[in-house]
Amino acid sequence: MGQAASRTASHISQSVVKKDHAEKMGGTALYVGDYPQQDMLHGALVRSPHPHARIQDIRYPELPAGYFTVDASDVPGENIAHVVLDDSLVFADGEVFFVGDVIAMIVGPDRREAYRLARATDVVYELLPAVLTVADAQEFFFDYRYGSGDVQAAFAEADHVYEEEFETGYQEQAYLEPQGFIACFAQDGVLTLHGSLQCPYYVKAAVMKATGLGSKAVRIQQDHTGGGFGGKEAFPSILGCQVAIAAMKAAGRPVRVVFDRREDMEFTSKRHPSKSRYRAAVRDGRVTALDIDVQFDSGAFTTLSPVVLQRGIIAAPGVYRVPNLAVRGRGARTNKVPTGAFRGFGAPQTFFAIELMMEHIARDLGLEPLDFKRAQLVERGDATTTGGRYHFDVPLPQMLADVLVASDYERKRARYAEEARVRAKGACERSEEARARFRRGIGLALWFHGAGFTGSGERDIIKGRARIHKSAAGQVEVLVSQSDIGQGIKTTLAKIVACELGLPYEEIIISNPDTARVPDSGPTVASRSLMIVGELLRRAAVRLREEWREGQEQDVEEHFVEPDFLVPFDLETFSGDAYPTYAWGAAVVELQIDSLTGTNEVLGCWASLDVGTPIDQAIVLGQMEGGVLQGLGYASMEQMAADASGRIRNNSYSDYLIPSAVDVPELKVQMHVTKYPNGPYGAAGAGEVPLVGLPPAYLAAAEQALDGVRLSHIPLTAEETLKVIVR
Amino acid sequence: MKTTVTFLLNGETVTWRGDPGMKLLDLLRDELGMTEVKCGCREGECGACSVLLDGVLVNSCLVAAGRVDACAVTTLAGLRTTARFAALDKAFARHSAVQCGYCIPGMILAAEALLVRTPQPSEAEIRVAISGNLCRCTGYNAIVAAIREAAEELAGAAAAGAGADAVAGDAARDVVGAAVGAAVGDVASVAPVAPAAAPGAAALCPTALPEALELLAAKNLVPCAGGTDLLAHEYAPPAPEGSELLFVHRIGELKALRWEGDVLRIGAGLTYGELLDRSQIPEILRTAIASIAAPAVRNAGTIGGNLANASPKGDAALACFVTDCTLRLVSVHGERLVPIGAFYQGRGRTVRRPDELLVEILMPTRWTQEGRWTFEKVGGRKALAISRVSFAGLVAFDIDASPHDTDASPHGTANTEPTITHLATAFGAVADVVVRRPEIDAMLIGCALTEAQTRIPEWLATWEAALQPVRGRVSAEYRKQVCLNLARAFIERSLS
Repeated sequence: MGQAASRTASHISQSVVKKDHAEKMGGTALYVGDYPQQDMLHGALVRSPHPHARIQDIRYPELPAGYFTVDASDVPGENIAHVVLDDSLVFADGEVFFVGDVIAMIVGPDRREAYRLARATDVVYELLPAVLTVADAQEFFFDYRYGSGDVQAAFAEADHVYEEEFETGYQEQAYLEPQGFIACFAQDGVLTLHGSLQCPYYVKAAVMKATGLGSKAVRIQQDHTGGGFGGKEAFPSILGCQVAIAAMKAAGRPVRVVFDRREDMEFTSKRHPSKSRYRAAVRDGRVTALDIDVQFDSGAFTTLSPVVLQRGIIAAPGVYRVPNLAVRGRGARTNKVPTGAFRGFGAPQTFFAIELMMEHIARDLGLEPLDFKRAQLVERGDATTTGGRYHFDVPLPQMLADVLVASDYERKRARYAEEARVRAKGACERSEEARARFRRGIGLALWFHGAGFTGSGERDIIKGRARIHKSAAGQVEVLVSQSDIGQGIKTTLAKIVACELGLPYEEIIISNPDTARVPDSGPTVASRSLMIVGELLRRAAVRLREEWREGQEQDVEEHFVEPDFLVPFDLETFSGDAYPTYAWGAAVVELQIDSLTGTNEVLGCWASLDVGTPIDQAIVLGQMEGGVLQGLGYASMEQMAADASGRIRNNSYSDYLIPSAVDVPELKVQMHVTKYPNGPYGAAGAGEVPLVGLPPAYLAAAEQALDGVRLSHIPLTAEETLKVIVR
Repeated sequence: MKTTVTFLLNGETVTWRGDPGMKLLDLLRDELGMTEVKCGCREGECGACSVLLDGVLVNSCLVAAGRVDACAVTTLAGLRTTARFAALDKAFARHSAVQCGYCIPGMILAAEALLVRTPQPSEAEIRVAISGNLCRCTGYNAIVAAIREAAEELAGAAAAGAGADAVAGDAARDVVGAAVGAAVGDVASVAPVAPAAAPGAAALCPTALPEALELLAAKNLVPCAGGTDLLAHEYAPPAPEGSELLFVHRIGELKALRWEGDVLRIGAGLTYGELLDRSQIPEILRTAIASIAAPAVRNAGTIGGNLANASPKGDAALACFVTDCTLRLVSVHGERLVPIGAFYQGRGRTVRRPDELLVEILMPTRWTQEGRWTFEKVGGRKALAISRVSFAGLVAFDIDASPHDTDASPHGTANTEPTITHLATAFGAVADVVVRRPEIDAMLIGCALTEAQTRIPEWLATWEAALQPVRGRVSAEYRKQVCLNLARAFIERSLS
């Protein structure tokens, strides 16, 4: 055991072969759709084609032998799919609230036949008025406000006042593996569900409520999961309840529901579209006040909207020292699919707005956005937007310097500005340069991502517990509820335990979580797993090392303890430390716009990211690169909208485009390391930060290429780009 | 209608009886339990279900089960013992290139297909090779680096004379290779592996044209060449009620590529992948083909199938329009040559009678050899993109028009000025059929260069009045603007 203490952080960062590498590489890893078919029943959902309607009657077709229906009348417990609040239903009860709202399920031995019967189910509706846009919203689920200083006075004393509106669209997680579950209600009275999910204990709580079964009678297991990105945080709680209740009618046979791509894209949660109004007061070249009003499109039910919105508005003033703040955030209720978690969780929407706002103000003042932003960055010891503290170093200046060098930003920025001047001059003279087909631009953005849950969730709600089990033979197993959804958490947690115990990493056992075996160490969300659960395991491993007894079975469990440096967060007043620490990001995007077609091409993207100590260099780099590319997609090609009937038409991979391998070949990420003392070996939260700030960097580049036009929403389409050029 | 299909699956003979129009993906996963073949979209847009068909990368969701009769299918399970897989395995592990893992089986097959043909690929070649395999986790860098590293290791091992191991390791896949002849190295020389089962019970899969034409005359059949269009529609069966698929991929006459004077006769059954391998094809056609989808789709999709499905978004179709191709339709009653402009009647509708087969595309190349051309595709991304607008232009000059012209005059005079002999432009994805209006382009044909330059505004204005795009994924206004921009850029550059 003696070596363990000498292990260093750089050692822990060295990459290993991932725990799940071999079975995924060889194709033997089973995802929920891969389990053998014998005996399996398949469920197909009957969904509303209307955004809002009263159900007058449900007329099922004549069912062949072996088929049965499941609907609200079958729910043995409460007809509630519990997320944060209890407004989501398992099956619609008399009224439907969005296109795709689930009314019933048809279950039977043949999947295609079940789908046919679901389509043949005749539901009689009385149509009701539907709200399809935030602008038309009558009702807001949440209305949060916080502030600081004296905003009115700051505006009164301002040299300049700016006001702008920003909008962001849906973003679909587009994980490669669609959602799915298998549920089986065994004769011993235990209901077991396994499937594609991030949070087994979330599903368990929801299923217990809907089925009325006790804790011992509900067991949730995570299968290998083909990507989540937040999309498998809350939604599986809803689908899980539906499949669970179907299984309770299936006489011991397993029931499987696996969505096809269209069903998954159209009817599962996605990133909240947003509309934000920003007012800024500027005095002596600095932003002295921000008055911000953020509206998120929550869809028909609250699901995760309260927490997404909280994170969004806390981030709304960005990484700048603004003494006077008035921030309001609301979640608009609309008759559309409920929106929810997606990597970044509300922050990408508001960082988009603040970064572009800063860009615009700087240019209006005749300043380089780089200089304008750099002069106003928060520093260690400064107050956060909610009156907490930046307790640790704010590494942005160094990260910014790194990314400027890597991208050759300043030289390119000046050159492209010169190209724009030639264009402007030549437009009158119709010179060759002025009519050059391709225009280039480069832009940057800075951001943070609060690590872990917002506010006091870890302390008050999650109360995470992590366990290490040692067999008499000395075999060590990690028991936590974390789901490896591709981010490598099984590997990084095992590394930590191995490191402290001085055992080979390969010998540490860690399986996909099963609520019958693992304690509730909390959900796999919010960039928390490594930072929080990893630290619990590190402490448990230290204890096990100290208490190690050869030949004896031992269990060591650690519980979450809030760091004592925190200013307690109060949700009522939005005050205190919303996060213990932050991950940081700086990115430069360079692009080229085709003035004939409006299409654009990313010439290069350079990011510097600080997530504390990387617990495995290659894993963290892979997370960063993947997140950055998702952010670039969000800014550009990833377009999804509901039409006038409330239906999402971009429901396939051919209509909702995500970047391919040839779209951004020049994508360079470098890691900056500011150790977080309360995370394992200095690790902070990593999963979400890479995506957050890419859209504003992208748009800043596009604005330069488009001769300084002010853009205000994403995705930036070729069509809009061409309109700008023609104008 | 059930048929019997016999094929090699990872080196073992499999006989299966069922609907020949079923997706190979469903056959592999649901009937044969090959769950390493992942299902991501069922329409050829993600690559998760990639397999090798006679050594060539395809999407199994776009291949009909009946099509694989007498073929060799390789899934990831068939590669696990090879030296190439071992090298990829090691490199993917070293780069932690496997995140959620769902794209990996397809990704490895794409890498395998690349490395067999291009043992030392550039980064750009790797990216193109996996451009049809979506990964939402990694950002692709780690995957690209891993494939590159595996290639280097394999090349290093071979160079160091340690190649014997690699050869031994390849024994398992050689089971497949031997059975399909030289299929792995040479796409064109694929030979059938096994006879179909009892006559009459097999999928309709003729090997000679007359046989195919007899079948077409006798029954209500839908020709299926690559199947990439027919199989892409999840909720519509590939063949309408009461009809069956006629698999035409094994008909030798459809696979020929030959010159007749300056006309290139292109067998309608040639896949885009096969055409890209041929050096003879004109650059405009090559450029158009390279813009289509991604390798796995190009490897299955055929030029004839693509023309005959009559999509106004077909990319290769534009190249055929501006070269004034003629299509050769053959039936038991004889044959006819139809100019491509007369072939289309609307979206999805052509003059082809049900008993006719599109056998050849006759592409005149006298203009493509010396003329100036452009092919432009506006899609939502650089691969796996369906055209939102597309444009092709081809202009040729006759520099021998003047009897006084000699090569002694380096600065052109009025007498030596080139004359436009051919001008063809075509617009895709803007209407129910590709828009090609010879009478508008005729305005400039026969004009000397300077005269033509003065008439550009008139030509453009005529096009502006003529183009009435429909809206789709983008607005009609956008389409029109882009069409005019691209036409203007093409004509100004070509006549400068």
